[in-house]
Amino acid sequence: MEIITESNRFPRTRHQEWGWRHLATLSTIILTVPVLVILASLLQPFGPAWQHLFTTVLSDYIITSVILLLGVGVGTLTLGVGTAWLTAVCDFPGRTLLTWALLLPLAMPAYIIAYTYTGLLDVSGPVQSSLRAFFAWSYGDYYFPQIRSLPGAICMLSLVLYPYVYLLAYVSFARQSGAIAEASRTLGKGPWQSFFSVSLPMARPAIVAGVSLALMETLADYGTVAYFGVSAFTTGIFRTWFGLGDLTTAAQLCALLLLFVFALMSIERESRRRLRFYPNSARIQPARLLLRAWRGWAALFFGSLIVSLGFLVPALQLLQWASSRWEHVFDDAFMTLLGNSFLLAAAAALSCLFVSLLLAYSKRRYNQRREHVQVEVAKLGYAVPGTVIAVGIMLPAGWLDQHVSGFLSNWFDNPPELFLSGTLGIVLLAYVIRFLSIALQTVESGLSAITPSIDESAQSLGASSIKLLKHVHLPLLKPSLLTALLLVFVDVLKELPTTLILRPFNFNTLAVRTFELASDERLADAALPALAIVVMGLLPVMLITRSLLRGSAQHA
Amino acid sequence: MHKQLDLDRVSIHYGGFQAVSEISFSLAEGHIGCILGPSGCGKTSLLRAIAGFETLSDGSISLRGDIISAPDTLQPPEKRGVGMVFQDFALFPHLTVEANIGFGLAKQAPATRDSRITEMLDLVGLHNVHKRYPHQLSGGQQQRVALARALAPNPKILLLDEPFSNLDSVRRSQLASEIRTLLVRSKITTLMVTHDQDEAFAMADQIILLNHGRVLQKGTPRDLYQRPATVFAADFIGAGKLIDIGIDASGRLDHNLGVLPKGPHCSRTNSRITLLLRHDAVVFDDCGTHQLAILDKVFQGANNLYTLALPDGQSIACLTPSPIDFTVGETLRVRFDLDEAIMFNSCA
Repeated sequence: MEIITESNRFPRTRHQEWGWRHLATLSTIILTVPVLVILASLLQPFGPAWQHLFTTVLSDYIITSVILLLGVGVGTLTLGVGTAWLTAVCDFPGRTLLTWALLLPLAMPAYIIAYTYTGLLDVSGPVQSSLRAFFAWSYGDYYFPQIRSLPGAICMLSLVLYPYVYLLAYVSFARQSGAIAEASRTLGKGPWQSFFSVSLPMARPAIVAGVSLALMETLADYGTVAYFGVSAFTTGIFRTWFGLGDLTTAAQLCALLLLFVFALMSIERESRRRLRFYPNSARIQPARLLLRAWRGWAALFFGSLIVSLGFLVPALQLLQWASSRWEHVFDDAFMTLLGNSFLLAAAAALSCLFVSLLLAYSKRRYNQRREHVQVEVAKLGYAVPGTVIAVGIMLPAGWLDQHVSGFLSNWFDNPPELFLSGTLGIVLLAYVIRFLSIALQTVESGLSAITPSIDESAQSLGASSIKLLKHVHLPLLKPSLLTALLLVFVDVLKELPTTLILRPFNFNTLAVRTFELASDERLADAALPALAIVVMGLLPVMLITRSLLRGSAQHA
Repeated sequence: MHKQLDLDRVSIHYGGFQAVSEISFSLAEGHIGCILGPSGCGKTSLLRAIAGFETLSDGSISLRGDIISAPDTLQPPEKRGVGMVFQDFALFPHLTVEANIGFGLAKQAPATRDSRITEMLDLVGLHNVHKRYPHQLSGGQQQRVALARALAPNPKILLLDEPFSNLDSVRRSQLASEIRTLLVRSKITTLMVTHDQDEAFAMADQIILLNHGRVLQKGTPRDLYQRPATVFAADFIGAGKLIDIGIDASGRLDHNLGVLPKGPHCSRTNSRITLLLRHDAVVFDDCGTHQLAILDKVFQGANNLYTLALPDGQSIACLTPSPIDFTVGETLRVRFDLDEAIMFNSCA
């Protein structure tokens, strides 16, 4: 019976299907190669450069990274939980506005906010100049904290990464059933006691997941720590590779970094697993704590301060710089930059979408262990820092180039030396590895809404497979597909370290150009490409805002 | 027995909408009361007002003689000593069964606390799962944990909000009688709300029937079944059909159905009344006075429920043992037993 249905459903596509299924597996394998290469580097002998690293800077990298993680952890936890608590649990003037405004810093890449604050707070910057003018101090008369430092990096990263914690904590607080808080009240706990003994513990897994995500981004960051001259892991990898020219040691450092990443990832996964057991049916909307008089204004001030520091101040500074240098920077070269970036991001978004569809449909169609593992493995990329992916791609690509070139020299004089390295193809591959999970998750959640019974009812009405895809799946999936494209597109635009390592010679993107100009202390010139990235970054923020506000409207 | 709970002309407003209007009733110590009514009748608002989650616009609520709610006083929920079982149970998902039950005992010494938890686990029979988390329990077990948690601090009154709506219908009646036994044994004054009259009948000593925020009738389940005060009450409680029928001054009904035995009859001739015929008022009888067309038949296992047509086309229901087997379109011979029939709108 089973067999008859199967062959009826797909009468002529047995061979094609077989092909698609294996293509899905093959893509997963290709996607995992870089990480496997990095892990395999641990099996190689540790070279003299490693001995050197070990005795000199390795402990520095580790300690700095750990301090950075602790600092950003505390920072994002405080800012994220504090703001989520205010906007989801309390009520005060301006709450609705703040609820979405608090997401704005998501649009601000850390390396951009870092160099903007450097311009603002440096000795020659507007803040210190005004202080000197006002108090009639001169240089050296006063103490001013150095922004380009480890604490500075902690502040910058916390200011732009807290929205991860805020978002997850907000949703968790907002969807908690009001009945649970009320149950605690009838059992003798006051409103504040109830918050601390019930609401907060119930949000704990969400908060932990949010902090883990923020910390993964911290480990992946290269732009900020490099610009501030902080010796974190990613800076160490760049130095080892480009400074010492030691690929193996760089890969071994990457492997060490991956251990940190895996630890964070397992914490995040465990938290999310626990979150599933927590009911989130808000049948009774919990009563908000009304913050009266000065408390309400203090809440508004605190929220606005964070939005200003994390978004408004740097965005306005960028705007001011960009307009002051407009005629110098808005030229053909900038248009080329825009074109390059957009084309690359669009190509990456389409590739991610294609692979996502391949894997998601494969899982839906065969639904076996192999497909489930494939999807899970393919999703791991979001946690792997761009630097690690880039190194993991460069090593095998270089090896292949060498061998292909050597092979061809048997027949040709002077065969080309680089087939893979320095091509846009491997840049795209790196993007797909890093950003596939965003697209895949979006596509999967879209597909999950199309239950198998929808397929079966369409087929019982006489729809062929093609017709089913075209008239049922495509219209239903369209919003998810567009969301997936947009999310990957914007993430690629913001991406720095992978592009920096893998891009073809003389090929620039907005992110790379911003970073180069900022590193050359041409802060004002860097403002226009930076601003372009920030403006594009606002698009996904708008998407999240919409679903967040719609979600809370439903529960109101 | 003195009044444990007393509501005096309680009204609740939401903006301009009056959810509950001037409701008064009281509940004696150890009794189980039930607020029964269709959804939107204000019964949940009333329960939440007793728990302290709604403010009154008028009237007052007293518990053991102390006013806990009035328009100008609202004792916070945590000070009331009111236990509540929520519709979705609202168990704390991050705590074990034990910790859930012990949640309201925070102020007690650890030893007292532990012995009370054990006592409660005994009461609801959940000893084997005390270390589990709520998501590892079945619906019925979750309900018992919610009950044990609410009872642990020894509340002055226990409130149950639609306690059986989250459970499958098969287990409802069994659980209802189990819980009633448990509550009666522990002498807990209880007030529950439900929209299901079977649950109300199974649980309550006293039913308060509510519609559109007003009390329609108060009484024992038997009172409400046998002497519904309004057409709504007759329709909402128990099975039966309401028919519109003419009656003369001597109480004789149209269609020769019979003579209403008692009650105030109209002096006017040919007035119309609404008559409630319970299933047992229409009796299958081979020698019956009426032969009525069968419009519909529902097989119920032990019984057949026939829908019959009166000569004027109105339908009435007749319950017969299932061997009395006719098909739709045939006729059934019946007689009318009007001893328990109830008349409304006399002389309207």
